[in-house]
Amino acid sequence: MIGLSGIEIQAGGFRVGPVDLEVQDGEYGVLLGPSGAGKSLVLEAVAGVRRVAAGAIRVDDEDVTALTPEKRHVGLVFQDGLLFPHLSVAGNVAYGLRRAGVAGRAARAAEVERLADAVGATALLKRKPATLSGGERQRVAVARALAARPRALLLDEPLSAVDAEAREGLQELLRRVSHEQGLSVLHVTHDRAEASALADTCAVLVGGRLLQTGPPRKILMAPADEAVARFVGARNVLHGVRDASDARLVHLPGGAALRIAHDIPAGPADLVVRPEDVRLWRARPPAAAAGLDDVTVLPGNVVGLSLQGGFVLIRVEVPDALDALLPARDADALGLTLGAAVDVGVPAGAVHVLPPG
Amino acid sequence: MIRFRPSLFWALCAVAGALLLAFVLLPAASMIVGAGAGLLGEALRQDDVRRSLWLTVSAAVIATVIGFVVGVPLAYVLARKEFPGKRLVEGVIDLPIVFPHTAAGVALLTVWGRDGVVGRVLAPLGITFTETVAGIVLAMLFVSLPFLVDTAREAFAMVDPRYEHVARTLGSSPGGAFARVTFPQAWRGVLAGGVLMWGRGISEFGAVVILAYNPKVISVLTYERFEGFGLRAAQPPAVLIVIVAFVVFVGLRTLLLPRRRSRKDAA
Repeated sequence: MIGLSGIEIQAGGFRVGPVDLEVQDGEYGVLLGPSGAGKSLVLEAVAGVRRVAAGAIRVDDEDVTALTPEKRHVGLVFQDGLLFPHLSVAGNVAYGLRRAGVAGRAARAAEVERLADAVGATALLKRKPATLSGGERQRVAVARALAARPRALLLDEPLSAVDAEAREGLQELLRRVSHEQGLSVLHVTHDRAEASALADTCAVLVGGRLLQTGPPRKILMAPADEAVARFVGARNVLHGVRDASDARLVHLPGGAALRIAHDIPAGPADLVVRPEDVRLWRARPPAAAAGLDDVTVLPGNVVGLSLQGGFVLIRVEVPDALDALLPARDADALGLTLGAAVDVGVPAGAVHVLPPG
Repeated sequence: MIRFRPSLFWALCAVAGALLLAFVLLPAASMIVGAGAGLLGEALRQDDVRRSLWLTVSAAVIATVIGFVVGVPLAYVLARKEFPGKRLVEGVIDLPIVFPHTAAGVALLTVWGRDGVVGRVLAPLGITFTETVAGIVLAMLFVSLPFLVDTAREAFAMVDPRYEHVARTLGSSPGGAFARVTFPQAWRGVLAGGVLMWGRGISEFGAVVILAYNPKVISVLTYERFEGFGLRAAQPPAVLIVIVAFVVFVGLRTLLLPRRRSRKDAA
């Protein structure tokens, strides 16, 4: 288990925290945030290579805040693997075996083989780190960290320098290691997709502040504030005012009004709509036939189109700007072009109201 | 208006480099050629020249070893730690570079001479630094230590500190991480600093001549022969030390220090 209680870190003029976070045994925790948010500082603090200004760090119920790194029994893997260049792959993996109590050359060699096999790096043992690909380096780095029998694993953007093909294999490896060995993992990344694919629990750090923790799906669908919403890709953040009499209707600055799924207090209302929840038609559909009872349908014009992998991001003015994300095939079927007139559907259940303040 | 084409730029660089090389090589080459093999052989047969050469080289080695012991830890601290007064410390380390060397000798005398601050305490114990090999080592150490500390500091700074972080999480103490991870990556730079320090030591004259005229290192012997007997008499010891220094420098660089990798090699 990794437990952070009120952790505050000062790095020059930049302050991080307070951070409260718990990752249970066998749980995969992701610390998510943009570059410069302070995620790596938190990881360094857990590893013991950076002092905390306040708060406590626990590993397996032991308060390790005052302990040096070698006494914390945590494994650390950096973005580029950071394998010791003067040692072979076998030498790297074997580095922590002494601390793990593996005595004797034969025993260490056998353990190196076992660990290399577990991460799919057996064929690399005699090679030097400089000859390895990014994915290979990361596998070896994981094996090296595991060799020292850590109680928890700390990963600093471990997949950032790895190509897409190798990334999937590494993701599967990391999940397997976490669950099979019952290790708590704290994985730092700026990649939302990576967080969604791996995390059991997620914490969003922006500008040194911990904004939200919880399962990744909850953060995605119900971000705590605008900063979280924007970071997790909820591009549609709308600032409106609740209707004077209808507690489920919000008026937007451009004149449109959106229906929401539950009553809200009078006054300003900040709404978040994920682009994949926005629907588009070329002609207004019959409400009953299309099951659109609880969908706000607004006329608009396409003002932006951009291909993103197998999807198309479409910006529509209703006249407030709304982004929709459609599979490329569906966008093609609609025959959308710049300036095209469309009807935009926003399901009430897809509108998340940000908490006030 | 002159327009610089790439080929003209490199040609200018080559001309400047050639002039500089000539400026450095000509005096050495002229001296070596002028001395001739016969004169060099005769010099090697002279006891005082051989003794002086051995004294110079060995005293510089001793100074360098002491420099490693005291200077490498300091270099590592300067590479890794920030602390109040760090810039001042770095400035103090480099002070001997700007000291006029005879002034350095005088300054050393005020501390280590028989009536000096430290010397007067050690003299009754039979430890003296004036007119002794110990004094020669001391003078060489003083003037050449910055070369080792500065070069070693840069070598340590080039090693990503995150390597040490990883090593610590794998069970290494700070000293263990230094010995097993940092130093193996930095040793060439540290050794280069040591070679520079040794080279600076063997060439020292001003501080040595003030603190320990005798026994004579090669620079003092050369000067004495020049003053007493002229250029021809001074050439053999001078040429011998230049040859020794050149062989050591080039040999160590070739054998131990890697060539700079080109971008092509790195790709």
